[in-house]
Amino acid sequence: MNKLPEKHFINNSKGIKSWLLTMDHKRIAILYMIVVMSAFYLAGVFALIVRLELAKPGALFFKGAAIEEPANASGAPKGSEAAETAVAADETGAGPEPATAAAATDAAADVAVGAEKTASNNEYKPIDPGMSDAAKVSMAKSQVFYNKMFTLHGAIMVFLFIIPSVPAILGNFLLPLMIGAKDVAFPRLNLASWYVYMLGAAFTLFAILHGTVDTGWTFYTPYSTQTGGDDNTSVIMITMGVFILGFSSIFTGLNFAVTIHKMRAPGIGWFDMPLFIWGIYATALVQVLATPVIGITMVLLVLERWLGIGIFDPSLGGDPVLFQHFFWFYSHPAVYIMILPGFAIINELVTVHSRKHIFGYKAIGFSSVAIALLGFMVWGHHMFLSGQSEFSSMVFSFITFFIGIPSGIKIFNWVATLYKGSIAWTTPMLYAVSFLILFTIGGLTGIHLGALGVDVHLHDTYFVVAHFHYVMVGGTVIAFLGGLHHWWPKIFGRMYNEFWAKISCGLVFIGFNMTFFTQFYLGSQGMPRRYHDYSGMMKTNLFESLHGFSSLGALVLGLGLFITAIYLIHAAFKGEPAGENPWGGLSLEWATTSPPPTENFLVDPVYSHGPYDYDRVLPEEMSAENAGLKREKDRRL
Amino acid sequence: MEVSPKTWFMPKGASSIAEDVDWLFYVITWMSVAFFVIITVCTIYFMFKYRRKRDEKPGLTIPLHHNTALETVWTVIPTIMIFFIFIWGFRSFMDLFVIPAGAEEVRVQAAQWNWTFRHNVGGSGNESKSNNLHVPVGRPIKLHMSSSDVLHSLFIPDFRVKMDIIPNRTTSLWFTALEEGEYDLYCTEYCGEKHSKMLGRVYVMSEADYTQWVLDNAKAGTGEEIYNNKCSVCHSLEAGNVEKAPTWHNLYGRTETLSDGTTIKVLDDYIRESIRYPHLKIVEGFASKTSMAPFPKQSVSNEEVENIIGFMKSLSVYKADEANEDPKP
Repeated sequence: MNKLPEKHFINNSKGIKSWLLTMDHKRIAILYMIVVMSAFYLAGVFALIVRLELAKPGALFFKGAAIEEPANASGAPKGSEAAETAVAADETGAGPEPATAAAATDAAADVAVGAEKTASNNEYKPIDPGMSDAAKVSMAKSQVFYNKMFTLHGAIMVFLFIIPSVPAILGNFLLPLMIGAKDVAFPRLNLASWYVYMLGAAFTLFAILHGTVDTGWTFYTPYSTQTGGDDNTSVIMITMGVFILGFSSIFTGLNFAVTIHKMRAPGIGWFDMPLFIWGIYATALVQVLATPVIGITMVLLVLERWLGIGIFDPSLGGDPVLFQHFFWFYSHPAVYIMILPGFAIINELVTVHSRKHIFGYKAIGFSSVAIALLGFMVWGHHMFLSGQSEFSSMVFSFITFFIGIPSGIKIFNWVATLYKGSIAWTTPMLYAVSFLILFTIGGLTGIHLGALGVDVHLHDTYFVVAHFHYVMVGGTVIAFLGGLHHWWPKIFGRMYNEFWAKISCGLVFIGFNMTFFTQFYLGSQGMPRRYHDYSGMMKTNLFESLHGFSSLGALVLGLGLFITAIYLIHAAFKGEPAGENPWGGLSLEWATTSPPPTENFLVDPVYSHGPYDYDRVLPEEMSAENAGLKREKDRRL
Repeated sequence: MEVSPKTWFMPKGASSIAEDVDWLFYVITWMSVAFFVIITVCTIYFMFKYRRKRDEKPGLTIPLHHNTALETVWTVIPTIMIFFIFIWGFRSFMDLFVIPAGAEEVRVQAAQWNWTFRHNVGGSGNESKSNNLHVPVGRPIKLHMSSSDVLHSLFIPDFRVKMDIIPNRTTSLWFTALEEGEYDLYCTEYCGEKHSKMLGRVYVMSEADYTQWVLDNAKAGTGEEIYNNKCSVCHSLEAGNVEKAPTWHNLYGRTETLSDGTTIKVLDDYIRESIRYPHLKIVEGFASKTSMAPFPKQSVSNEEVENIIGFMKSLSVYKADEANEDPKP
């Protein structure tokens, strides 16, 4: 029977202060885990709200009784009576909505125009001219609410969850352990990065409580400099939040890059590191080099919005396409900040659980760096239709295709690693297999979007939504969940319930595919992104069945993730002690106790064997007492 | 070029470029399916084939670290394939953005949250305006687009065309519709509150119907505008000024003697006739002066004729209700 060590980093010191002022990378990882995972579940709730709204055509939230009213056939405005209804609806509506008053006037104007047009012809009109003013007001509320929800879902998932997720939680915990160091190079900077993150999160939370924003997570100008009218607070707060969060990311990246260069244990060369470290290293480079650009862009946006300095808004002499260049110059490399750590985790999962040496170590390591560097040269593929020159589009399309090659190489290498392995069907392994299937779909559909002529049709439709969710969720989040399950027993020293873990892994896989595979078809049929409603279209019936199925899938996915949260939290406190090396891994983090001591190792670790030497070292030979191999004759140095 | 019917993953293709786009889409899709099947089948097969039994004591595994030949193959083959996809994708992209000479121009104004499509009416300077797009079948149409506020994007799924619309810039796209009918048109760049209601329809019509539609929808000028543009050179508004043509002062309701000696009361019917066919009934004394050119429908629409009549009434002491009481000749 396994037992927890008497003294480890979690019980080493007690009290809230010992956590908030800690400089132990493992404790900082747990601080990050608490807030980053809260952000994930919060943004997940926003995603469910978005999916529920789309389950049926028409408005769902803030629908009110007014929308149910039969359409007024004559379409004539009802004068003061209608205005009174509108005011009443306004007053009874939940929460202050700054856009409502304007919407009421707009609605009244629309009715008048609609009536005039009905007289002249009976052509298609997107808004029923016979709709009552009260119905229009609640429709407007529902639209604004939806727009805020998808904005928050995107912004929180991207900036508060997925960018910090793997590096700040697993990277922070594992990086020093894997290279045999006692901590990261700059422990104070590491803690500072967490506080900077919290400050950025506070700004974002303030923006949410202060009426939130409806700009979309991309903050495209000139809409983002105009929305909300004279009330600048929300947009400025959330963009400043993104600016501040950027520093957290830069601090982490800088810290990791220096740690990897300078803190490796004696004997560990660049090609003796686990590939997880290569992935984190490539990520760190992108974090340090790309993040300043989003910071500058956000500051420019705030200056324009607040002081009226014309940079992006054409009415002030600026150029909105410039904003898109600046934004994607960061946000495309940011895609690699998100996916490279996912790749990094998969290297460890497939090797440990199949007890097999990784296939093509150098190919995988260098392809991570190649992706990181090529990632800086493809931002224009988000802008094929933005009005940039056809020549630019051609160059960006060409480079985009070449970034697919290193990603493909990695996939082939992982599959080849499984060949003649000794594969255990553990939860982390099932997540790794899910990753291989889902990320392959995400990567291959990227070819559709990279091909210029085809992208014209698919751009800004649900096809794009499906594609990047297959990469971001099917890739990064699945890998992250696999990583959490893989290292949970190391972090907390306790094992979770494997039965529930496999059930929820299955639910996540099925729910995810139901939700997002449907959206490839939805997109190819022409359904645009960021639409609150799809009634009144020629394909409304088709869209309804597809959206309905997608929303059902989202509930299954949500259930799977909910179960995961429950058993993981339970395991952290009450799980069975897991032992030093439950999976039989060979990298250095398994050559210490679970949870590790505050100093990481019981003795100074020395490089004794490669992290993937499953062809010559049995995991049973690993020992925490020796911080590596028991066999003295094999110990190098 | 033919209309491509709805296929399993693409909607109906009703424009000239749809066929090429769909062809490339399916080439990529089938290649992706092939790669996906290879990867998935290998993964699942290895998972079962090399599964570690529950109570199996794991030993050492084979020392397979890399295989240069295999790695070269799976690097080179995809590289060649994506190179060809790039070329084909670029070709259809250029087809989409090189606008053929002689394409009919429709000006598009996008605003929060509606579309305005403007057509020129046969070079007369008049324009036809609508919230939906009307185009003739089988002829290239160029959309010349601009935004009045924020970013928008015009998307017609069944034509496979899309382009962003930017304030203070013009962008354009073109297509040739292949079949008469009705098609959805969407805004696909998020533009705020009613983004999802920034919809329209494309009405593809026969050449004759289209010409008729453009005429019928031409924006009517007010009577005074038309007078200033087209009538004021000859017709005066002052009493007694008959230098070139009868003055419009008090003309409506007046009884005039024609050059053949008969008399006629100047009411709606006579004015309508005189605008379209001015030579039929000329007022006495004006037959020798410069003859008036006829104004066909393309130049002055029916609605505008009525506006002119309204304007003439306003210049006359003769009142409409009196006109009704007047016994018809």
